[in-house]
Amino acid sequence: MSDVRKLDVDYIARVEGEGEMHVKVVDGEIEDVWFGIFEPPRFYEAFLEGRPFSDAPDITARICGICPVAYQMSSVHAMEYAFGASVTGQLRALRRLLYCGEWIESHVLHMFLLHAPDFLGYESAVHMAADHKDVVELGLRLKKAGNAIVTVVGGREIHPINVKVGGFYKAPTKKELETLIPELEWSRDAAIETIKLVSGFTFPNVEQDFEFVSLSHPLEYPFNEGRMVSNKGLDIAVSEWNDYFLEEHVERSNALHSTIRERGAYHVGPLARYALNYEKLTPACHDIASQVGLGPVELNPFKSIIVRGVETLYAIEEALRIIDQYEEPAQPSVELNVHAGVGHGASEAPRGMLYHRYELDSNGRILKAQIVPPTAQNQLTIEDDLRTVLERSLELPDDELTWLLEQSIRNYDPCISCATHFLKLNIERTTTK
Amino acid sequence: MSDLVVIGVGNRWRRDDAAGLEVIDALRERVDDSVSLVESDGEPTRLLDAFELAPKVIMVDAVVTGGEPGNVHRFTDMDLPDGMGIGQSSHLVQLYETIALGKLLDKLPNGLVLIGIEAIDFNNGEGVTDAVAAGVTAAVETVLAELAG
Repeated sequence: MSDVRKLDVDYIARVEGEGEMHVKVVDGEIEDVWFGIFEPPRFYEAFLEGRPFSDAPDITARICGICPVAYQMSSVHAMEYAFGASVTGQLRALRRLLYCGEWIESHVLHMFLLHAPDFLGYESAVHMAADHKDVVELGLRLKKAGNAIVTVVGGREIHPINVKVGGFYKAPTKKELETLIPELEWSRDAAIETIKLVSGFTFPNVEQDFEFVSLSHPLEYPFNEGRMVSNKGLDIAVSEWNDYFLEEHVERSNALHSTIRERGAYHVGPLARYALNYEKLTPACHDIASQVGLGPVELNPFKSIIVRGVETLYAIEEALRIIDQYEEPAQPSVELNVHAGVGHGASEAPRGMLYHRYELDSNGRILKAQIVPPTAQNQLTIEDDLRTVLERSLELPDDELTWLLEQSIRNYDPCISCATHFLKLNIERTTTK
Repeated sequence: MSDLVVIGVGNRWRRDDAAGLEVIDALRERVDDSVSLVESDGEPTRLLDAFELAPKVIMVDAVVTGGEPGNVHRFTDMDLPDGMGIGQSSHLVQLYETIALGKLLDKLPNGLVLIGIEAIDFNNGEGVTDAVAAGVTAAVETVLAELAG
């Protein structure tokens, strides 16, 4: 027998998804690291089959309460690809604006209410709020600016109902968008303050040789459009996803693990987008990044919180730019020529690239759906990070080690309940020597 | 400003978790303009905003306390115990954490009541179980009594 140290973290079943982490250390050696998620997209893929193409944006938006816009966007792009439709001009700009709102909401929620408590040593946002009321209030107000964009453009707060294949049901007026400006102007300064705040945290000294993957567009920081690129030579059209990536079933999880064929794990999300699209950020983003010591590429996953701050600033500035240049479009959507085909769509959810593929019959009914969420793509990378963190921190007592591992998972803002602290922790040690 | 806001919390695609939202659906036919009806997925910042809509707030949500499915609970003491398992669908922050946060930030209305419907099935899918459907009917009457009272 040997000295076995086992950390099991079973997350209490939550409504949106479940996740768990298992770590086994035998005689000071890491024997097993496993991070598993149980994600809803599998259910939705089956649920979509037989339904009209026009149902996809609304149904897929329900997959994640935090990033419904991402699911809507990837699905509408996939359908438009299948029908050969092109959404351009102000309608395209409105989609970017809606996405700005979601990035602000999602990044701010994660930074302030979930990740900051880890860095500051609080069990939860509630515990943190008792000592740092001003910080929490700053976060809540900043997030509200994002909520407001989603409400005005998306038509409703929770699951935006105004998005459809081909555009929108109703385009907002210039006046409606202009009501957002004063709070967005306040938010620009608040985002800079936030970046300064989070960059002052203490970061574990971990750097990984990631293969970063994100969309890349020649002119803009990516939301809805671009080629899929990596820092290790990948450069493909969105329609080629299945040729270059592989989804595999893994025991103990209903999530499919994604790999780059014959290469392995990869990383999607803010760090990847930032590294691959740094030059398309605004001058203000570049200034504050360099001011807080962030280079054009950041390999420390714990510093993703700073990059989220920079992307929040970008989203605020981009929203202000779009509103400034907005002119009400003549039609809220484009005509669709419905026919049989295969559609591919990818967009940048706050937590990383989200790929959708649909096979459609001649009436536009969905024959087959494939949804590849960012957290499933990051699963192997998260395990790699956990292994690295463990190797350097094995001497820590179990409670501190568990804290650090949870914090490592939260670097990826996973779309599962891992963000909570409801843990059943099972530690087993056996010593026989 | 309304006199009162009723907030249904839940997710229509996770079976019994839709209970709070179904109560809101039923109330649409039964209340006048003095009552605001709000649907929530449990996301904390929007919930805190909804608390500011009226001086009195009634929240309706699926709960798991280990009781009979469909049972209706009424909580007024908002110091709910940790891990009580309030069904919610924002995967990030528990409902009681939002309430605690609201309290710390002075954003909690004085009159806050939580109507909980004991739920059992949170699997993917539409439609609540029969027992919870009966609970929804009962909870609608509980909310209406609360409004009258």
